[in-house]
Amino acid sequence: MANARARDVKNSTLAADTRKIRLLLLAFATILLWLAFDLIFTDGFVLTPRNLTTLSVQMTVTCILAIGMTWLLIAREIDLSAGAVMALVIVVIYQLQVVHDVGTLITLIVALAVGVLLGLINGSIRVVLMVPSFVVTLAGFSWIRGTAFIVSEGQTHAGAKDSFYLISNSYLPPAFSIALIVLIGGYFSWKALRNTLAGQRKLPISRVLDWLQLLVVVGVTIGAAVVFYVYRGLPFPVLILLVVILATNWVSTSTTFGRHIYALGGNPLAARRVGISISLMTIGLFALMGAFTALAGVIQASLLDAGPPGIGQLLALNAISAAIIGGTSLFGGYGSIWGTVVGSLMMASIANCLSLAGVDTFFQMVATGLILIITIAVDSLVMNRGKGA
Amino acid sequence: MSVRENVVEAKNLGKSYGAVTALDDISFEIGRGEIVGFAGDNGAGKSTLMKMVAGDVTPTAGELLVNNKTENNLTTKHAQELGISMVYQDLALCDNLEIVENIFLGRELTRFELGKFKVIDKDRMLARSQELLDILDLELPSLEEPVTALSGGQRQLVAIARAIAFSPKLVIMDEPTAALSVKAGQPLLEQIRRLPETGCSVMFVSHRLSDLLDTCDRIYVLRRGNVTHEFTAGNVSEAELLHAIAGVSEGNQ
Repeated sequence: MANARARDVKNSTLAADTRKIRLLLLAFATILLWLAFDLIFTDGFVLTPRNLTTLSVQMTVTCILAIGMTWLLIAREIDLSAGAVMALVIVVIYQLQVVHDVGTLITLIVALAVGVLLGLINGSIRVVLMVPSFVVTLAGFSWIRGTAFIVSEGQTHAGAKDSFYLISNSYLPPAFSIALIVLIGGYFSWKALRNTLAGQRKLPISRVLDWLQLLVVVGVTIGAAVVFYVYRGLPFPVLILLVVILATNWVSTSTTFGRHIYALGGNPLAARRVGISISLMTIGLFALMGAFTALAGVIQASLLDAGPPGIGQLLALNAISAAIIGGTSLFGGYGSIWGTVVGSLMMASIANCLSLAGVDTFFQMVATGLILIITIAVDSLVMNRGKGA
Repeated sequence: MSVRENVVEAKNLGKSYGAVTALDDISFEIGRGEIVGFAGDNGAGKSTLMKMVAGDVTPTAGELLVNNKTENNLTTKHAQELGISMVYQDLALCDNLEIVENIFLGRELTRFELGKFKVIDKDRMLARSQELLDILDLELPSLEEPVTALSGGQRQLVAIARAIAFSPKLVIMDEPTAALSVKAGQPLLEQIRRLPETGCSVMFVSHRLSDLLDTCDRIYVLRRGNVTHEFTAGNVSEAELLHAIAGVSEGNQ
C-alpha cells in the first residue's frame, strides 16, 4: 500500500514536470530560432534591441486574444469570431474618430463596450440555446464581419486623432522601463528561487527543472531589461500586454473565478454539483473575451492608423494556434497563461525571422502549420506513453 | 416523539413522476452518530431517496424532517447549509485540479472577497485539508498534486474529505465501494465506520451486502418504493438480507 502510494505520486509529479519541460523546451526552441536566424540568415539583425522591440509589439495583438482564448478553451469553449469582433471594434473606432470627430476617451469606452456586448451576445446564445460555442461563434465569424463591412460601408478610414495614434506608438522612457522590468522580473526570480531552494519535491529531475526555470526567468529579465533600455524603452502596447499577462495569470492561479474555469473544463458536472454556475461563468468568459478583443482592436487600430473592415481574417485561428502551441488542451481543463505567452512569442518569432530573411509570407503560414503539427505530435506521443506506463 | 435525536426523519415519503411512482411510502430515521444502510434492488428507489435527502428531488407526499424541522422544499444548497453532504458514486472530482482544490471546490477559503470576486487562501486550505486527511488516515506527500494520479481508494477518501470538510451532520454515501476491489474497499469502510467520531451520521447506500453488514448500525431494505424491512446489524445474516431485497417470503421477519 505504501509503495503504491509512492508510485502514484511519482507519476503525478512527472505529469506536472512534463508540462514544465514542454514550456521550457518551447522557450529554448524560440531562442534557438532567434540564434539561427541571427547568425545564418540576417547578419545579426534578429537579436538587435531594435528588432526584439519590434517583435514584442508584433506579438501583442495575437497574444492578448490568445489569452482570452486560453480561458475559453480551458472551459471547453472556443471563439471563432474574435477576428470579426476586432474588425467591428476597429471600424467603429474609425467611424467615431474620423467620421464623427469623437474624442479618444469616449472612443475607447465605446470600443470596449462593443467588444463586451458582442461577447455577451455570443455567450448568451451559447448558454440560452445550448448551442456549442463552435457553431455560435462560427455564425459570429460571418455576421459580425458582415456588420463591420456594413458599418464602414466597405471603406477603410485612416488618420485617427493624435491621442489615439499615440496609444500604440509611444514608449515608456528607458529608465522607467528598466525599473519596471527589474521589479517584475525580480519578483518572479525570487519566487522561482524560493521554489528551487524549498526542494519539497524529491525527484532529481524536478530539481533540475526548477533550476532551469530560474535560469530562464533571470535570463529573460536581464535580456528584456537590456533590450528595452538600449532601444527606446518599453513600447506602450507591450506594457498593456504585460499588465494583461500579470493580471490574468494571477486570476488563473489565485482566485476562485480562475480555478473554477479549470473546474468547468475538468468536470462540468462536478462543478455544477458544488454550486458553480456554469451559465454565468460561460457568459462571463465570453464577455471577457470581448473585452480582450476590444483591447487588441484598440492596439491594432492605433498601430495601423487605419481601420480596414477586412482586418484579422485569420486572427481567431492564430490565437487558437498560439494557445495550443503553448500547451492549452482543446478538450478543456489544461492550459496556462505563461504557456500561451510563449506560444504567441514562438508564432510571432517565426513570422519575424522569416520575413527578415526575406521569405515569402506564404512560407510563414507553412512554418506555423508545421510547428503546430510538431507540438501536437510530441504532446500526443508523451500522453500516450503516459497512459501506457 | 422519538427518544433518539434524529438528524433526518422521513414520514410516509412519496414521490411520483406523473403516473410513475418512484417512492410509495417510505419512513425511516437516522439518529445522531448512526450509520444507517439502505439496501435494495435496482429501481427500488434508493437513488431517488438519496437525492431527496440531499435536496435534489422534492417529495410529492409525506414529510421530511431535518434536525426535527419539516424541510419538504429542500434545495441542494439549503441541504448543504443544514449540514447534509453527499459523496456521489462518480465522486464528482475534477481530475485536473489539485487534491486541496478538489476538497474545497465551490467553498474555497478566502483571504479577500469583493462580491463574487474571491482571492483564495491556499495556506489555510492546505492546513485544513491536512487535518481532514489525517482524520481519514490518508497519507499523501503533497496535497498540491492533481487528483488524476491517485488510486481509486485514495480518490474516494478525497471525496469523503470534501464531504466532511465543513463538519456536516449527515454524509450520504452512494455506493462508495462500487468502483473498488473488495480488498481496496476495506480501509475505506474502516474510515466510514469512524465517521461518527467526528459527530456526523452516515446514510450508506450500497449493493454490497457484506459492506452494509460490516459497517451499518441499522439497515433498511427498500423494495418497489417502500421500506419493507428494518434490520439491526448483528441480527441479520447476508442470506436473510438478500431474501428481503429479492422479496422472497422466508426472508421476512
